[in-house]
Amino acid sequence: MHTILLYEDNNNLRESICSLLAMTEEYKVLGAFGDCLLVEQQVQLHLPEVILMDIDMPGMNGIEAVKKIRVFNPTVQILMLTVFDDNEHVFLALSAGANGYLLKKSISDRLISSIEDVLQGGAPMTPAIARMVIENLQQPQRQQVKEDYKLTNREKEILQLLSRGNSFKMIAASLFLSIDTVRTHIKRVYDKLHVNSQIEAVSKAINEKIV
Amino acid sequence: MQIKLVALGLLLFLGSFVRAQTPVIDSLKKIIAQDRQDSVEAYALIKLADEFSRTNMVEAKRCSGNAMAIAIRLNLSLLCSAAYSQLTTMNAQTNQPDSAARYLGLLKQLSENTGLPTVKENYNSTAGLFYRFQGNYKAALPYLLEVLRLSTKRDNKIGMAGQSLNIGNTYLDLGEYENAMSFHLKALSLFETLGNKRGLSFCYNGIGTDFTKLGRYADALPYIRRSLALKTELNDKKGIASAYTNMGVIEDGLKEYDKAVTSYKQALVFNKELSLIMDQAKDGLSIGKTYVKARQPDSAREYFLMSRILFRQLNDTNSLVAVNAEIADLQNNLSRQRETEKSFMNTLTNSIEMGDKSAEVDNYKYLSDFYARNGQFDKALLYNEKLHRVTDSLESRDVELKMTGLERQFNLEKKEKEISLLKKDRLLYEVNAQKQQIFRYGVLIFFVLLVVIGFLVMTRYRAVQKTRRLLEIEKIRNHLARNLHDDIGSTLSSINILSKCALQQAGDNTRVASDLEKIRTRSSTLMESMGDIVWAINPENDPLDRTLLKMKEFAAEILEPAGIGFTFKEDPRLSDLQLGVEARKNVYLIFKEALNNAVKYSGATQVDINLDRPPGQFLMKILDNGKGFDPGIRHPGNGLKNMQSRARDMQSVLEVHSSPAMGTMVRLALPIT
Repeated sequence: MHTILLYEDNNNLRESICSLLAMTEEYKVLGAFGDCLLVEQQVQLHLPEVILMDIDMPGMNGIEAVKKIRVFNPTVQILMLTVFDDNEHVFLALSAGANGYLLKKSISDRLISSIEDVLQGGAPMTPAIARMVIENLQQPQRQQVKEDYKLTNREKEILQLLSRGNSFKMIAASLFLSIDTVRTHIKRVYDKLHVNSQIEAVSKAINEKIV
Repeated sequence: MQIKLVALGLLLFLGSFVRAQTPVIDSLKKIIAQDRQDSVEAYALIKLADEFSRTNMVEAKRCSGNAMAIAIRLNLSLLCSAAYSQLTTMNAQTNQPDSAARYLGLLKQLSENTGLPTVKENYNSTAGLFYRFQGNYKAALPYLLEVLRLSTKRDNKIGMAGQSLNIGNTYLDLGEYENAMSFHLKALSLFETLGNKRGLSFCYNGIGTDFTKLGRYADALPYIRRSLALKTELNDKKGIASAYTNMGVIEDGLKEYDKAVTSYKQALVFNKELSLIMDQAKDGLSIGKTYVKARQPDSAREYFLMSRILFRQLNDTNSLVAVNAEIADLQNNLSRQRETEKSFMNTLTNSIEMGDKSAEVDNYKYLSDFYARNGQFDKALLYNEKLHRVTDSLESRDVELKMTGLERQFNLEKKEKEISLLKKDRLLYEVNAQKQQIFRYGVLIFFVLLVVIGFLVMTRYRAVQKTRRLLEIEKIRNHLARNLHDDIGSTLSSINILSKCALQQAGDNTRVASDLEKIRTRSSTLMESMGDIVWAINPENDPLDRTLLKMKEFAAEILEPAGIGFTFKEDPRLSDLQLGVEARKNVYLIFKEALNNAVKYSGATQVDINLDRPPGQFLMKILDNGKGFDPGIRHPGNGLKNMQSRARDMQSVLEVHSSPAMGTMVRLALPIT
């Protein structure tokens, strides 16, 4: 039984997600909130394994909440929810320390699998999101990045392919790897990127123009 | 003294009777003719000598000498002293100083020897007179004053009068005019009391001379006239001469030079008659000086020369020097005049030679003035005439005409010069005006530019402001839109989720299930559409390669879960292609629809996607190896219809080829510029 906290300001959706998760047995929603103003206390109180966090929320937005959580809790898995799949917010969220990103239109289909993924240490991003992330890393103005995040050539390769819109399957096919291997590589990339989700790392990234 | 008294008394008696003294002389002559050789004769001789001394010095001397002889023989001291005195005076007057000195010496001896007061008095007065004649007035004065004292002591009025007169004259000669005047007046009153005309005449002369010396000519004149009248009455030739001399002095002082010369000349006549050389010389000198003042240098020169001769005779060196100076001065003036005249003449000749008419005219004027100044009026007139002749000729008509003509021409030339100057001025002015105009235009343009720039700046500013405002509004709108989108999207998602959940619970109830399925599908589709729109609107997605990426992703998303393999080939030339928002939206949606169809209906296992860029075209081909469908039969859903309409919207051609054997191909040809 994995514990989950949900932050979503739309009442209907919040309700629906709870219903959806209630139908499962593996997942239990410990709390569902309409804003993340008291996120620190709530997380510290409930100690969930997974947090589902809406980005666009009144008062404090989800990305800020993620930063706050990561101050005291580096391990909880955070999955961002949003209607918009734009680069900026995605990358901000990931840099803040989110583990994944899920479009609301895909929730009904992929919520459970995403949560599973994230719990397994995977990087439950859609290729689009992944691409976005990678794209941000690779954008010309970000070639001032002093550190390379020490990506291996393979990882870079995979990243490149990802950034070109190839699915994991396609990447695997073209590199003659299994999909799992590809996923692992991605995860490592993500982890490496993730290192920066620590507060100091985030600021580092910001300084180095990644964010 | 007694004799003198008697003599004088006799004289007075006789004198008061009649002017002419001939009867007196005749009677005296009668006595002398008697040749008595006694004191009476001696006394008569003395008297006669006295008479003659005024008219005939020679005769007077003779008589006096005879008297002296008798007096010495008879030892008549008084008469002797009288004779000595006379002789001294007469000799002094006739310029025989040695004889005069001798007789004075004898008189002095007599005075000392006899000690008689009369003789003493006689001596003193004679000595005084003697020194006076010599011009040694200072020496004379003490004697005279002594005499006066003695006379006053004896109350000898006549003596007092006489001596006062002498003293007055002496003071006059010494330049002590006040003293002179007082003594003269004293003498005058005494003589008036005594009724002594002779004395009076001397007094008048003296007073007149005093006034003259003081420069009071007007006051002097009546006295001298009175003196002259009396002397003429008394036939005192010497007195007359003296009076005339004085008159001359006065008239000279009054600048009545002609009168003065006449008077002097009169004096000269009498002095000549009396053989008084000194007086003649003095008169001559005076006349000359007067002529000089009267600008008659020739006459002046004549008299200077005359007086010089006389002064030479007298051996009067002082006076010689004076007269020589005068002559020299005259000469100088004359010669200077002559030089001036000469130089004027030269200049005149010069000017005539050179034809310098104006100089000639000037010279005539100079000469005319010069001669007029020097009293040569005839010459002055001559040159004046010449002057007028020349100026007249200058002013003659034809010359005048020529002048006018010249003047006219000159004026014309002047006018022309003025005109050209004006033209130049005008030009300058125009150039200036042009410059000014240019300048003004420049300024105007500058200002206009300024205004324009200002305007532009303003508009730009306003535009910027507007843009900013618009952006602000845009931001707000975006924010609102975002919120709305979020709201809708979230709620749709919730519907979607609920329907899914409901589906699971519906189980066998197919009707409910199908309804729930509808809800699920529609909400899903709607969410998808929304996402697409948002994606399409986002300007970040303008470049075509973004669209291609999205298509690729979509393909993967939809095909991989369905287990359908696929290939995605894109022409690299497509990456820089720009499609409009509408175009790429439509392309994407057509693509999606095609794939959806492939997934839903074709049952294919492989989908091949090709994106090309042949010249002027964007070509999209989607081929699946499914069972195909009949394009003719109507199919449920609007999918195909939508595809077609989207293609039409893009002015592109959409072809759908499908057959069971070959599968389905969707071909989109989009013309591009």
